[in-house]
Amino acid sequence: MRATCARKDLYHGIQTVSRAIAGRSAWPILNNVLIRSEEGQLRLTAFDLELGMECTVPASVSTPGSLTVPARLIVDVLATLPEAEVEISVDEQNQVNVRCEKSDYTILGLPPEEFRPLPEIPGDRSFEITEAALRDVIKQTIFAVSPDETRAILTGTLFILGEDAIKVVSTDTHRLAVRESPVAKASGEASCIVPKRALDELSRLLEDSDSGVTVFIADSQIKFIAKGVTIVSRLIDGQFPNYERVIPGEFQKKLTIPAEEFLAKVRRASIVARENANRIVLRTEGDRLVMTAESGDVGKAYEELEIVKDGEDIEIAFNAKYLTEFLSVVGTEGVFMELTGSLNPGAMKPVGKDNYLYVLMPMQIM
Amino acid sequence: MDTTDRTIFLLDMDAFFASIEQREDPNLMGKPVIVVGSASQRSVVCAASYEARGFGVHSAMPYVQAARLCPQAKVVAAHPGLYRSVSRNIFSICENFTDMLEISSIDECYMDMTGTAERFGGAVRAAVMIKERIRSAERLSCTIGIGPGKLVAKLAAGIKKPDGLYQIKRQDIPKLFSTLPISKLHGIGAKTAAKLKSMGITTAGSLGRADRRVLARVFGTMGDALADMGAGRDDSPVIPYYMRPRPKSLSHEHTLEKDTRDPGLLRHTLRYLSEQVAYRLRNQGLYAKNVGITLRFRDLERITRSRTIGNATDDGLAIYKTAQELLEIAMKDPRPIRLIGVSAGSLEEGIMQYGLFDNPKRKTLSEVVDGLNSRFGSMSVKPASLLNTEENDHITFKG
Repeated sequence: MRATCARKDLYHGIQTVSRAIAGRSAWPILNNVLIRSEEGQLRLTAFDLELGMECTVPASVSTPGSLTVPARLIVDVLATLPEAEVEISVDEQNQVNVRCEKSDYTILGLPPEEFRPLPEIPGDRSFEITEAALRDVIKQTIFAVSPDETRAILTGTLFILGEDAIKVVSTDTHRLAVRESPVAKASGEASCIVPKRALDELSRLLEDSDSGVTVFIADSQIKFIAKGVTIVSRLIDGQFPNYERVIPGEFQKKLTIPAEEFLAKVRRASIVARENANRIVLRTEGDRLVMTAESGDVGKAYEELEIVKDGEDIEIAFNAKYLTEFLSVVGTEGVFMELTGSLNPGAMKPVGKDNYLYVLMPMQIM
Repeated sequence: MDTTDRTIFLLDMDAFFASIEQREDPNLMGKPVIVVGSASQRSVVCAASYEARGFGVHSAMPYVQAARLCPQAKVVAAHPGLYRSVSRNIFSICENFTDMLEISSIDECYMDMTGTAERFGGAVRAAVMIKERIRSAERLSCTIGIGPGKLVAKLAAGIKKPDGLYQIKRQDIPKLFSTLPISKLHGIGAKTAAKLKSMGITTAGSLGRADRRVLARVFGTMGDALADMGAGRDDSPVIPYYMRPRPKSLSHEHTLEKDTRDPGLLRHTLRYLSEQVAYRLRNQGLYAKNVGITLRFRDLERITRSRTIGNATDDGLAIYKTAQELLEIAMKDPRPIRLIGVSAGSLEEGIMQYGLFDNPKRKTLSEVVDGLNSRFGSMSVKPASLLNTEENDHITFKG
């Protein structure tokens, strides 16, 4: 294979797909990126058997063919080459040659036949959604995913595809984020758990735009096509907990709180709270919400703000981190907080929207 | 810390379990009594009355051997609940004399009487009063050793047992230690004593005078501690329970009736031990993030396996579930199992984050069960899976 293309294009292409390479795999081919020539372009693929990414870059191909090269090495070389045409070629010993002006590098590759192809995903269960909508859906749920590797099922986000909408759910068993969004061209019903890593990589690509993202769901894989990049991920196998059971059906108190001010105050109080398991106590006194945090080693914090309250006064403690993570992504001026008692779960929702729900469990007040 | 003026008591109940049994059953008075956990071949002596000790019987001796040494001894099954309640009464008497009380076992405690002894007319008068109070309230005798530190107090109690009272003052230490065999110092075991003997050190006094550099070379970091012991220097404080640092882990173990690989029996024992560990966690307001098991095989090799769990817990069932998973993996080893244990580690204080999927009823249930058990005795109320089984109650004691 022999082809030339702009350094910038090749560099960005390989850099993008190489994010699917987790690290130093014991199997060398999994650390390599596959480069295949097509008409007028090069197709770049990286796949570590969990996550795969693919994209194309414009190129002029003089000898068709394919090669694989260690992703890390070629990215590092391309990063510092001058802004000019790069010629990439391979010999029969799989030695990859990269030339650019007066630079000439030979990197040891591996036979392309060893490269594992991305799995085929049938197209019978799929939908389309805009970049902006998908970006928000992920942003508003991904923070509640559990980092606990011992419970694999919670290290991903549940996607439920319905007739014309998706429901996306994350929980780490202390809080739960549920977001719904309309989708287009939905075909088939599906429910699957997508690893956080795939959604992190997808989010990097997504912008605040109306361009479409196409999503295909298979039994054990999911595929996203966005901005000319294909992301294929293994799904997490198993039964997601029955999250609907823990959504409070009714409540006795409802607070309407200005989101931005609330966020600023919780953030400040958490400077003290972080020394005490992040615990922050919320107390209503009429139409004021008083926030206090205390730590034996640090000191005390006191904040208050004006709210609108329906129902009796209440005192309840929450993990400040759980509050700030929701308030930073809710995206509305006001939030509702629906509460019953200091031991019951609280529900938070954006004012004026009914597509987003956050449920969080309190902490002991003590 | 200036330790010159400390007044430390070591209170040790005399043949505690055996004396309680003699008190409860007058027929046993003045007779050799052996208290055992259960009268099985593998049982060990929990306690022996002074009459039985005359025949060479001592605690921790296999029951079979004790029965050979003293065939006429009255053998009594232990009553752990009773011993615990008597123990609590005795320690609460002691608390009238000082709040600096360190309970070192069910029948022994250290008391820091520095500054408080004078209020009772001096150390010896205070000790006499404590002994009298215990005798009149519980009809039991004890021995009190008094010294400027814990080590010497323990030594003093050992000199005048039973029903004794002995004080070793700082100025008496050099003379006493010059002839005292090193094995009499609490904390020096047979191995260390033998090593010291090979270095020509046989008395506490000679240990105190030994070259610290040589001790450090032979015993490493323990060297200095040994030299201090030999000199009768002991700064270790009396630490009451409320000042004690949070434990790093809690565990319960059980030696099985016979070596086994019976999964039903092992699971059952594991469940029992998990409940015991969970009860202690709840009692201390702690939550475990790590659950472990210990197995000891027929050949006495011991293995431990542990796993970090998602949410810190104080629930017996949650601990059991993890312990059981660990057991299943460990059972791939084909050797018969002699001992099984459950441990809880990575302990956290109870700043508790409630879980969305927790069953709030379980938490309430545990609280109610704990309340009943603390009133009517350990495991009066237990999970149904532990019903219809022999009582497995254990107590720890130091010989």
